[in-house]
Amino acid sequence: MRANSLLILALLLQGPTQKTGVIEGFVLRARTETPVVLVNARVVLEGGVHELVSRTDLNGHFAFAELPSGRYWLRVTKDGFIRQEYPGVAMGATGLPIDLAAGQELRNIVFRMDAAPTISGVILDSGNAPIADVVVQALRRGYDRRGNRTLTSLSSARTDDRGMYRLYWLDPGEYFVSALPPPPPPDMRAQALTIAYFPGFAAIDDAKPVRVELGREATGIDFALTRLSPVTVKGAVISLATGRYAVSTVVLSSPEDGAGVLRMQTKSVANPPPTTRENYSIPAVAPGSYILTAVSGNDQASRRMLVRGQGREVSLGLVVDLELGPGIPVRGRVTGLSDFAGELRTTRVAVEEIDTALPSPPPVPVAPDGSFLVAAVQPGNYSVSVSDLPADAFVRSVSFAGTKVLETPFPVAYGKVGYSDELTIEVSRDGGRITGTVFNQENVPFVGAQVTLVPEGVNEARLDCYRATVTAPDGTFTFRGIVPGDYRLHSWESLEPNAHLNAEFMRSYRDLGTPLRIEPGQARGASLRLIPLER
Amino acid sequence: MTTTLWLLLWLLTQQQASVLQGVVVRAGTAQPLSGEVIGLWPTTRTVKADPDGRFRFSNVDPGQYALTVVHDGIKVQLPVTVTRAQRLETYTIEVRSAPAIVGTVFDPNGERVAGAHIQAFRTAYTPQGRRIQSVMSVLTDDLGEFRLFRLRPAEYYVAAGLSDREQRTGAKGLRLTPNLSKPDDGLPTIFYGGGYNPSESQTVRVGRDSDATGLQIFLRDAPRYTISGQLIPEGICARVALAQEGGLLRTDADSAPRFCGSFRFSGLSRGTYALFATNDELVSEVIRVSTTAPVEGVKIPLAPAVTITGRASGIGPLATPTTNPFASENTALAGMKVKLSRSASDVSQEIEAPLAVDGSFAIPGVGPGSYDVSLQPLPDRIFVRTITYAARDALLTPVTIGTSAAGRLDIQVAQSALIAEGVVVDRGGSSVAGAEVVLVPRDTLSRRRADRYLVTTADAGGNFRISGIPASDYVVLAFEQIEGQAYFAFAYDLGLFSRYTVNAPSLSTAGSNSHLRLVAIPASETVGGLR
Repeated sequence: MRANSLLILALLLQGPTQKTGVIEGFVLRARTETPVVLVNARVVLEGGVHELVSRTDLNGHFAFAELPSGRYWLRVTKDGFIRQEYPGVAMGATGLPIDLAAGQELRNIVFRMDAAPTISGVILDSGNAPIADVVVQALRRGYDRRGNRTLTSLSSARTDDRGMYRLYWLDPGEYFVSALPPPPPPDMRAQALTIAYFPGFAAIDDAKPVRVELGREATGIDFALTRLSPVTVKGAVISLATGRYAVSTVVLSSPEDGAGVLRMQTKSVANPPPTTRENYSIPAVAPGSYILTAVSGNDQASRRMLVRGQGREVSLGLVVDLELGPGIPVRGRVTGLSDFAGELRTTRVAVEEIDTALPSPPPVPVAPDGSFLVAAVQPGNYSVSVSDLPADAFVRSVSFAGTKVLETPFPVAYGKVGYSDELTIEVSRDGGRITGTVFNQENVPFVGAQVTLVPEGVNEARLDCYRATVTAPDGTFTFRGIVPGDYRLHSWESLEPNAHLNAEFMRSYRDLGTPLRIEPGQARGASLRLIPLER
Repeated sequence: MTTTLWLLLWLLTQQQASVLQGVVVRAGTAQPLSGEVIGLWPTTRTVKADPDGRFRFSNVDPGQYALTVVHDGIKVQLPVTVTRAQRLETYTIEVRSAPAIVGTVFDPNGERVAGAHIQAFRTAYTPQGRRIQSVMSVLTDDLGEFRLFRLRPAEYYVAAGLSDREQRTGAKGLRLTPNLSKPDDGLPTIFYGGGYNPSESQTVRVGRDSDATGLQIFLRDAPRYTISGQLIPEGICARVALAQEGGLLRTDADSAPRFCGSFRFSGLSRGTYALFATNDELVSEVIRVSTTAPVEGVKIPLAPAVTITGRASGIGPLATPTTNPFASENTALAGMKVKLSRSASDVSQEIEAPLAVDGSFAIPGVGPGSYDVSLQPLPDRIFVRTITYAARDALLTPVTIGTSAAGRLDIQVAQSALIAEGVVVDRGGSSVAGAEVVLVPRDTLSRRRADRYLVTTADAGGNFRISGIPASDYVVLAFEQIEGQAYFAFAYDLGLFSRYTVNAPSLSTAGSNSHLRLVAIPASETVGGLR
């Protein structure tokens, strides 16, 4: 076992009388009793600074000893297998922390790991010749933090000179495979290859997903890039303060990829030629959806845009203007609670853009008097969330400039937010509580099940009423601080993150859920039947 | 009667002249390659393959020939014999891609390693000197396999490393699967052959005709070293780039981790490293450190970074007042970037910035040092005519950036219609397909600027053409085969320059376009470098 010297120092500083604990267990191949050797088991003390790594032996055994008390996250990874987090949650879903008491010994934790699948193939150019340096991505459909369907890149690779690629060790499921060619030289832009989706379409709507199962390889996922006339995106970046052209860094990026490889960047200038109104230009943009951002110092502007690649857009370009500004300060106050300097010092208020691909300001702390300031909110439509409230507290109402905005987004724009307009967040400590147990088909409590609480009726539009957790090693779960109202509880063997936020998805499973009503301060119990993976 | 005899003779000649036809395909497949130029050695005749890869030479006299194709710098020749009673045959020319180095990486337990960073190093020539330089890097896949492709025939050193830092550098923005285990400090970089630096390692020779396959690199646990120290002023935060000798200093977020106050790099193998720190407002000089033991207490002082602003402009035909030569609609000049290349023999650093539509640019985060300025990529027939920095000429001498306020950088580009064309033959007079033709400036100062060397590859018939030649005096050389850019040695080795150019033809652009017949320097005189 390799030990981190900082953790050893922490142990020494605690003194000789402090009892230390143990976390140990086994890693087995799924659906067998076969141990998996050389698995990296990693415990991280909350705060993420201290880490210990233990590799499983020939019996698949790992152990961490002499651990000080604290909250730990335990993860296991092994090349070729799907990672897991305690208590046995796979595929990137959030697990449960281990709150280790002084001297506590948590033994016989068992992880069962599955082999991860792979997608491989060849990318061809429009003449059916293999093409190198193409970035191939495995895009997974998922749900963003608002439950909207989204595509996220799970893994990407570059083709070699034979056009071959391998997207290895994916999570099982369905993927769209995209291929983005290297940028052409300036004199070849008119004939440029553009992004394509398996089995060879330029538009994602026409693409066919590739399904990969545990431990299998989907081979022969070959397709050709298409030739489409790319578009020049150009426009004027204007400073809100001066009303003049502004110098800024202008970036065009794909919403799926964030800060990955699909970025195009240029600079806008202060004095464009008198013959043109645009002061920035990005050539050779393939059709698709993008986020366009301009940044200059503390000023910025962002917007989502769609490049169609048709008609006049190809010949004349797509004109998109941006107005740079510092953002709008949004002031507010939290009522109903008081100890923001003590118990509630970690409470944060977030003002979040409802388009999750657009930037949002970071969450802000609440001052001792309950006030808060979100300094630089860019124009857009926003919702409010509060994190780290006391366990039984919930947000009763939110209003902004006298209008209730808890269920609907509120707009923020230059010149529309007055100095006296305040975000008022009313908090109540009278939240409900649900505790329960999840059972599988054999009536055995199920560890690591995902349990979701989905509102119905008046609270359906409130994102903060949607809750998700994971069952503990004894199969139990708890929700606290529940907003009073009607709900439906489901328990899942496996669930795509944030899927429970999507109304269309949940409609298919409504009848498999358990309805219940929560009154203020009420505690309810529930026994749930697991919805198995096959469903 | 005489007319009839002549007519009969002519008809006889036509019957004797044959047709040579064929198809060009990718080696090992039936996939046709369109657009390839096919030469008929030893003549200078060429034809181009049609969209189906087919080609045809008409009126070929009886004799011995070789159908020749140069693809990715690799020459393929297919001998053919043409006789009087030639039956129409179709020849298939299989064309290979440039060679590759292929291999597998294993960990100390004998398991194949995914996500290891593989680099190919080669002796590189620059006008500033010779050094070992990383020319290509990839990550191993889930089978532990790697393929370093599109290499020039040469000798290479191949290194494998496994650590968080190596993986980030090798990924180059790719998103690696979350099911790939974190290597943490991993295993130190090791070269093929088992050494920890090139001088202790085995080279891999890559020829024109075949890949170097079956390489096995065994990572092993070995002494690993740390480099740690402080950023000055105290408490400052900055990205710190680390590159091993021959490597490229990259300061993007993927390659250069961010540290505040103190920094630490661990899991390093024995060797010499360069450090560079920047946080967009402050920047350091390049600090060099050797690891034979853990290195502590390295101080990296940062000073205010300089933003170099300036403008590229066109002159002559490029300076039409009503158009902006750098706008995207003008594909000739759109998409160029201004690049500062640090003049150092042991490590590379490049800082670049795009040109705006009006040719203006701003290069932020420039640290103290000497830099060569260039515009890339330069389109056909365009050349950099002047570079001035703080009103001083910077075309043929590096720009020296200090810590004080930066001067303005101005670059003028011009267009040249001057062309040099001709044919390359061997000492027997036969065409030399794929020969490298180089225009080398006679002026010593000009020879230290890489973009003043104008280079092209002769086609399958030995024909070449170089356009857009800046006005100057040149020596014209043709090499049957030369190690990558070894002619840059002429910049610092006057004896070498004299030896190779004593009998070489000259080209003066004071006149009009030139047609040249060059005799290639044979490969036997240049293999392994110029000497």
